[in-house]
Amino acid sequence: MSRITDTQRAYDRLVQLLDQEIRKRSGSTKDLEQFRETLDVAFYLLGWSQFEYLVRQEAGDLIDERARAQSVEGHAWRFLQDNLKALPVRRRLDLIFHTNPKARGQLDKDYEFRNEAAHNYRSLPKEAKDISAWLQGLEELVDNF
Amino acid sequence: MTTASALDPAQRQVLINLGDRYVVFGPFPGLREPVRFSPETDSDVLPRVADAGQGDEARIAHTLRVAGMKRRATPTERIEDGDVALLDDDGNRVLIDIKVRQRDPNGRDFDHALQRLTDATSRGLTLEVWFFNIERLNLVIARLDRLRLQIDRLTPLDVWERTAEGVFNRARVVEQADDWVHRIGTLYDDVRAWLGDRPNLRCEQSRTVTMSEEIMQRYAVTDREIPVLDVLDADQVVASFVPRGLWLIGSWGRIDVITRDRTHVLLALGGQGNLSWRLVTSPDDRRQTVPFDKSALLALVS
Repeated sequence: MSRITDTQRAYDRLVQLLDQEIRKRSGSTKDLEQFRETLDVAFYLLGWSQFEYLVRQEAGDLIDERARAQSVEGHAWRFLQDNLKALPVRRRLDLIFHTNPKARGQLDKDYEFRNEAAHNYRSLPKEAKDISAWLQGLEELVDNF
Repeated sequence: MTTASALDPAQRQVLINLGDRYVVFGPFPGLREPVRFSPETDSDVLPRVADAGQGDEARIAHTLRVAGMKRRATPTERIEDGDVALLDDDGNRVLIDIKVRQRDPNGRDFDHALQRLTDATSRGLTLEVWFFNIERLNLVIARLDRLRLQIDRLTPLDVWERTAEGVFNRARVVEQADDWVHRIGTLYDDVRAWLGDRPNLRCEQSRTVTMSEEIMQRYAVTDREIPVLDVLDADQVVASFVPRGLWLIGSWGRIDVITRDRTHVLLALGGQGNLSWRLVTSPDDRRQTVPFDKSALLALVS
């Protein structure tokens, strides 16, 4: 179990608290809905950053392992090992999920949403609204690395 | 040939392509004439664009059309004088400088525009600077009128997407939003009726949430205020029905029912015209649902 599970639990709890504020009518419903949108974006980005860290580690391990090979491929892996820092997230995902194109394709879309939210000031689209389920899905992917 | 525009800029209708959408901008309020562009005659079936935000300025310059005016390639002027040259029926020529933003133009934008306009006027050219806000879809036109800066604002009259399957336009989004409001009202009526024999419980509808979904913004549909329904026992709210969204994956709308212990999810499921409200029974699996009826409601508020 990774920290993503803690993130999911924290998100669920905060959403619950916001919902209860709505029910108790202790603040403007519109403000509370806005807070919820901000919370969603914040946890989407947090989830991604935690996932990216784990992807970086996993891809590094995978490359280290193959770089030991005394073959022609070993040279290629060692070259990659030397240039690991320059390897973008999507390439790392390719390495980890090369046998799971469905997950890889979904992560590609998710990464696009993440970039739009992080760099282009966008809200999350409808495909990425269920943050709790999405965090749970990330945890399942990490469990199956 | 003169270089003054005979067509009032504030009354123009402008068609542009924004990747996967066509947008017609025009005067607001009060249209003097019907929308002069239509999906069938003025748009092509376009391939899907991976990122509709890429290359917007060039795409707009390439596809821009103005009702009652003809396009003409910039003739002898230097290219920096404008992105598009327009001619009206009388041969009046206007150069258009296109600026694309994800916001409305600010003071610095207008200062820069004024400088460009003044410079063009001093060289005998008629220039307008057009600011397209592609996030909230509006068009602000900056021009000189007797050496004074004049600002005109055009709003979207229609937005459509044309694919091989057909045309999806703004009216469809408005229609679906209207239907959503109607369905919420019908559900609230049911809730009131189901609680009719529980004298300790009463319903109140004094609060709203703002419906401002992504698709509404893409099709320039105005935000809506959607009512929240509170069920009260004395002065305590025991359940709040909060509409969360219409355009969702896997359902035709979601309303959260926030009770004292947790938040329950109501989904509109089924085919179009045959929708029913289903209560999600497992927080971990949205596919596990039961019909939302009187007994399900009473279980939530008891």
